[in-house]
Amino acid sequence: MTAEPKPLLIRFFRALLALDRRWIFLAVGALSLIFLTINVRLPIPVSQQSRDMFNVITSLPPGARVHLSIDYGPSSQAELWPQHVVILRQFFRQRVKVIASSLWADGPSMIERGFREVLEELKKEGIEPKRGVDFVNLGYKAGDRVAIAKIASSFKETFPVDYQGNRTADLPIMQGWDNYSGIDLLITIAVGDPGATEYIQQAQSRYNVRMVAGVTAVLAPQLYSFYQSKNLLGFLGGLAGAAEYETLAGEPGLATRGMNTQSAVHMLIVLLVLAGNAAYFYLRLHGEKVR
Amino acid sequence: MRTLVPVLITAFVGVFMILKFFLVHDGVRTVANELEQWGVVTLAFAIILGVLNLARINLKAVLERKRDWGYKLILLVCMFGMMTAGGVKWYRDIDAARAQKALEAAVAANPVAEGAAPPPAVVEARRASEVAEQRAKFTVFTFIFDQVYTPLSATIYALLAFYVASAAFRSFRAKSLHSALLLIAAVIVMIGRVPVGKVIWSKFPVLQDWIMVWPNTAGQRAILMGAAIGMIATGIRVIFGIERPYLKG
Repeated sequence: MTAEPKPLLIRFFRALLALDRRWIFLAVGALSLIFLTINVRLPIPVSQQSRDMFNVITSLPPGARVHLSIDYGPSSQAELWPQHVVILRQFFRQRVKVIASSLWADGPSMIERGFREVLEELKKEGIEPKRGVDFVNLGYKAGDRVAIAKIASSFKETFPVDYQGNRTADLPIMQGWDNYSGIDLLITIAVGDPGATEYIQQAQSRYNVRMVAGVTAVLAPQLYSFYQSKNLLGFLGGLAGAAEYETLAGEPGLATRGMNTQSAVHMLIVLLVLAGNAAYFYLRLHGEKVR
Repeated sequence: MRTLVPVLITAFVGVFMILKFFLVHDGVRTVANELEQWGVVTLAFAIILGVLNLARINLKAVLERKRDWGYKLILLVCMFGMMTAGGVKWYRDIDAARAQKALEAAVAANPVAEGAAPPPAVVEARRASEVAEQRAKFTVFTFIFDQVYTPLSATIYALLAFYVASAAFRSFRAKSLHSALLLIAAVIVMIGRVPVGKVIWSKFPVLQDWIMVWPNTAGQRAILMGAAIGMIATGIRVIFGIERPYLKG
């Protein structure tokens, strides 16, 4: 036996299910704009994997070598750029040597942009790392998994010249080491394939190099099993991961600001899904055919 | 013979790559490293082939005034324009590196006492290095990448948020037990992953974490292991020549 249908409720739910999607677009756009301008800082809960990543990076001594693989392009910068910047800033503050490369054609320009903007900021703090001595951009290498395997066995053979055309064998930063046994930490900031999983398969598991990763929120669920098995010592997932890292570093920045917008849009989507289901079940209960 | 030779080459390469993983013998490693280098070079050539193919197909369509030939023309202009801009940037980068080296050489050749003015050769080399560095920093390539390509790419990706919201509203229905479980998990993860979740209920982040760490990891691991076993089986079939996708052209 079903309850007596309420005409007003039925009309409302029918209208809801027939809602023009442009209203939803408008709601998403308006909420994004409003919450980008509101300066309210909600407490950001920090996950264990982000905390572990932070601890691994902060434990690097000055002069440690890090291979930073920037495996994303501008399309995913909304999620990955805040991770890239906050981590790079921390490396330079800790006087860590950064060897950057990319498996994505867009990557080298993102690397250059990262160096340019972070170095500009750090100049005000009196930190002025030198290209070729404290950091290097080795550029892009085609070949996905094969390229990773090759990088792991010899950086100088894989990248005979850096992005600026200098012979890598002549660079001070490249002296005294050539493969992952000379690298203290491998970090990839990745949007897909090739990225974190491929680095784990081709390099981390073979050379037992310490590894962390920063990935988009979509990719993050894939990394939990590698994190549990200690292939990954920590990782950041999407903008939320970057905001957690900023919280740990005590430097609220792009990601922390973005969390207000993300909170609002997530809540909107949840409400839409719940409202859609409520309408679906109510109308079905009262004998209407709905999809 | 046309089949046998590629199959033998594949088997040889495959066996060496496996051996490299398990053996520390220098000979095996040297051969495997060389094969990896060949692989990287071959894949780099694939990019050149891709560019040539793209140019050939689109140029033909433009010359024959086929449908949407205007877009194809824009594609060609952008592709070759960006390649030219990249070439100019590459030249300027090399020029800046050369000027930097010249400066270092000039400083080494003209030692200056503390507090004394640097000799004209060093001043000149420093000025040349600064000019070259500025020229390398501000190029058409960098401008297009930062001011055109980056905002366009980010905009296209950002549009996903609008479509995801609309699609979730229209299609995410708890029509069965499985879809109901998926919906509940999705709602908890979506709320628990953002700061407002903790404000609503302090246990949302904990619940979200539990879903990601246990059920999600179990599922992901099962998928990973299944895929790995599949990859091993495919690898063995390719090495033994049972599967020959590379011969299908």
